[in-house]
Amino acid sequence: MAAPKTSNPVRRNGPMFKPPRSVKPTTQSNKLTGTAKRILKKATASRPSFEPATTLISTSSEQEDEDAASDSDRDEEMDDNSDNERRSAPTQTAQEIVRDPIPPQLLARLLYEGFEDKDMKIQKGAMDLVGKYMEIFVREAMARAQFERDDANKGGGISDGFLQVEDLEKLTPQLVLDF
Amino acid sequence: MASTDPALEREERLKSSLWYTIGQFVDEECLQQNLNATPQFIGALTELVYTQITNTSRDLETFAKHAGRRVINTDDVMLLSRRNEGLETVLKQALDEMKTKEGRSGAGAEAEEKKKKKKRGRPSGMGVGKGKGKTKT
Repeated sequence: MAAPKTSNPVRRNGPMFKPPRSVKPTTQSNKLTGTAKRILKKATASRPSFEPATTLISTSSEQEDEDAASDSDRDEEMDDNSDNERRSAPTQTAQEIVRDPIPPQLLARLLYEGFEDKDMKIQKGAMDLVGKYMEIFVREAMARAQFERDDANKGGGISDGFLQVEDLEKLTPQLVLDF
Repeated sequence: MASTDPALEREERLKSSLWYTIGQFVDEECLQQNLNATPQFIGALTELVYTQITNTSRDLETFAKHAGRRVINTDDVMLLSRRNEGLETVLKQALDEMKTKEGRSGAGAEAEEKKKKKKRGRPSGMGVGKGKGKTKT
């Protein structure tokens, strides 16, 4: 619980002041379309922040010359993002915080770890699209977990509102088949 | 992946990094839904997402190789959604949105890219899809 607890207080301050977001109820449903709409909405908001990064992100030696220039850029962008999340206008804050389950840099790193051919590269646009894909995946997992929890509650289980591993176990096979 | 130890450690670090960000996301989502998640749930979700990312990267690599490329482009990513129509629609929309954005604001950036490519002495490619057909020297 240590990690989630520490992250909570900072975030908890934010959304409490905000009016409930209109898109909120859609997550309850298990439909991809609901998730999709929210994601698309967010995409419009989020896109500009990591637009200026380089087109090709690579692990190979080619990156070296880019690294000097773009690494600092990326770091700055990250800082800017978090700054925005915490200090900018309230309405924006609510939207900015929730938009990215996985930061693009981390995702890029993980993808490159997964390549067998170390020379493999990926376009920036493709990278963004994979980000979208994984975002949908995570959101879908969450939405389905909530659905499973609701089901369990209706069945007369202990309803403490805690998402359990069992919920995830039930939804995973279908989720993985769907993605 | 020279030896198992550093590789394992790197994997662990990446996983914990993923754990952290997934944890934040789940907390955020739970707050809005008035729910809670057990730490075990977050851990399990992290494992799931990690595995999914690894599989995805394998798939993408295979798709690109099958097309005779060494650079993954958006077509490969679209192939990921071949079994799920809803997902395909969403990704298509996202892609279109990205393209229109690029068309509007990407003129300067593209010029820069071209410069970079020239600097590195690579053939400038076919114009469409930057980096297409580009191979490592």
